[in-house]
Amino acid sequence: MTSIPDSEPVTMKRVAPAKHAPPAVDPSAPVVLNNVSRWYGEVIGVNDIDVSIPAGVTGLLGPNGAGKTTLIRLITGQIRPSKGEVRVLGESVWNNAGIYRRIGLCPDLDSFWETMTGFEFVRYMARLAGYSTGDASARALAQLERVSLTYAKDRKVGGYSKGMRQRVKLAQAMVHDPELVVLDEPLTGLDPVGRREVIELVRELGEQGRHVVVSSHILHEVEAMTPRILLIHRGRIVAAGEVHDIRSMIDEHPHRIEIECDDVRALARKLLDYDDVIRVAIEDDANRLRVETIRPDDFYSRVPELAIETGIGIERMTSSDDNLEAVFHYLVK
Amino acid sequence: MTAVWLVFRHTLWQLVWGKKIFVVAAAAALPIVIAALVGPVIPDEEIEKIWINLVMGIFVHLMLPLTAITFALGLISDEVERGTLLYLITRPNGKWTVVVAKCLAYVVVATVMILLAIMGLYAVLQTKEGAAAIRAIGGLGAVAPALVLGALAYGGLFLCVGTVFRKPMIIGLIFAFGWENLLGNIPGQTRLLSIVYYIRIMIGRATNEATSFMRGVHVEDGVGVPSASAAAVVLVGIFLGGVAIAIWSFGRKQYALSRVQ
Repeated sequence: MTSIPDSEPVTMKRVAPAKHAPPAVDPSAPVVLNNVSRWYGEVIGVNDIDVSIPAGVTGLLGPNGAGKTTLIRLITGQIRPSKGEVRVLGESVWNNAGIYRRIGLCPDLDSFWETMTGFEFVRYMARLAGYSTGDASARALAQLERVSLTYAKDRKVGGYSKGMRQRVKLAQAMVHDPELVVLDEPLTGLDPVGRREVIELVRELGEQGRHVVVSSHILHEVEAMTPRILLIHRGRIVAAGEVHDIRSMIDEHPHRIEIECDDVRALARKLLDYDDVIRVAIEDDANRLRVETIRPDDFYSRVPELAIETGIGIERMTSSDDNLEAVFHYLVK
Repeated sequence: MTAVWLVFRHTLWQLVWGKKIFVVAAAAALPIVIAALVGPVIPDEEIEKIWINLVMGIFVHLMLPLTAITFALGLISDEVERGTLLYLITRPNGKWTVVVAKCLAYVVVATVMILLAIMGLYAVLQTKEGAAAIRAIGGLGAVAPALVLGALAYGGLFLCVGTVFRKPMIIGLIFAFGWENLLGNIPGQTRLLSIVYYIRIMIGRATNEATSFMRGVHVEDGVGVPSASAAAVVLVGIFLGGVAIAIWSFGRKQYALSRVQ
């Protein structure tokens, strides 16, 4: 246990990502990227990615700007790799219109033909996928039912809430029964009930034997959908594997917590008595503590008791490590 | 072909019920309103002149380029701006189907608008005593084909511009009201580089060439002046060439790059 002088900045230790490095590429996997890079002029979107995404549900996790959307655009053939090759379901995907019979995409863009009703929109997408009017209507109704939007099917999309718009996008992605469903931030804008429904839907797709790639920047959201994740950061896949591996890796390293209270010095002294607390620093504004602990669960359960015992008023407790950016700091530093 | 039909139908609906149609409708109504207003005070022998001046001045120089800028320029770029293009290009249909379907929708809407407008003008002028003079220089049949082919040529070109360039409006405006007016009026071979020249040739030839007073029309029977059919071929060629380049460009373009994350 160590203490640090007041206001000294906290510095995290380096973490070698070697044991979490992406596994070797499996050429028979539904999605295979061979040495794929994509540049936008001087800016690197994704950098030399060599990865296969296996069957089932895979979460693509990374902070905003990590390259998730670029990767999804490459997988869905919206953009061409600057270098390397992207193969989806055994076929090259760029400029291969036929592949879209087998891929369903729920984009991150909140864009629609606003004057269409939800039903018309999903049916139009089904018709464009090659179904007859009757089949397309039946499929559209079934998918709208699946995303709990039947009640609003005849309302114009322009009048939908954010959550309804998200769900109608999901419906169009699945309306042609694709083998691979690619969902770009599908939980954005959904309320807790909507989130739970979409999470259930993704699990259900996985159970039906479909391949699903779902992106998010929130770890617990992905964790709720699938145990298998790809971590992307600054255009590179930095880790691949089970969520619990990532979780345990996070737990192996100091967890930063900020506490705002009315007597920081008294609380700091108390906290330093515990062996899981490795650093405590008092911030400049003198009513905030920054604590590093190696057992965050224990720490969180202890603090309320400590507050009652000492009479210190705790106003706020936040963890910057809940932010995915901090996780990636651990992985790539 | 189902995909072409579906996108065509949807685009037609967008064009007909969108706000843009009011711009074209206003341009279409302008010559009719002018004819209705000045008709009562114009001597009967001047009716032919009014007809030609309105056709050349408003239809050829304003309505055709305006129709193409308003409708054709945004056929693809509006979908890009709206973010809806993604839904069309991630379906199992060749990208060309989108361009062809949208182009066909433009052809239908532009043709109908122009024919309605020219027929409206013709009908208004037919109420005058001297209307026989208009019929004597070919009437509707002398100008309508040139106007429709002109609309197609501008449409093909602006579809191409709207597909190739990310911000096509400035280029479209400069071409339609700068390049066309400038080159189309310069005597000599440079006129061959403007669309308006070929429209004038078609109208000039069809209106019996006796109408030498036609503003801006110089149909000399000299060497190098194309025939009406040659001018028609050039206009169709510009249309088809524009559509072909649009299809080629659309197939290669990565529209997702307009919203890189």
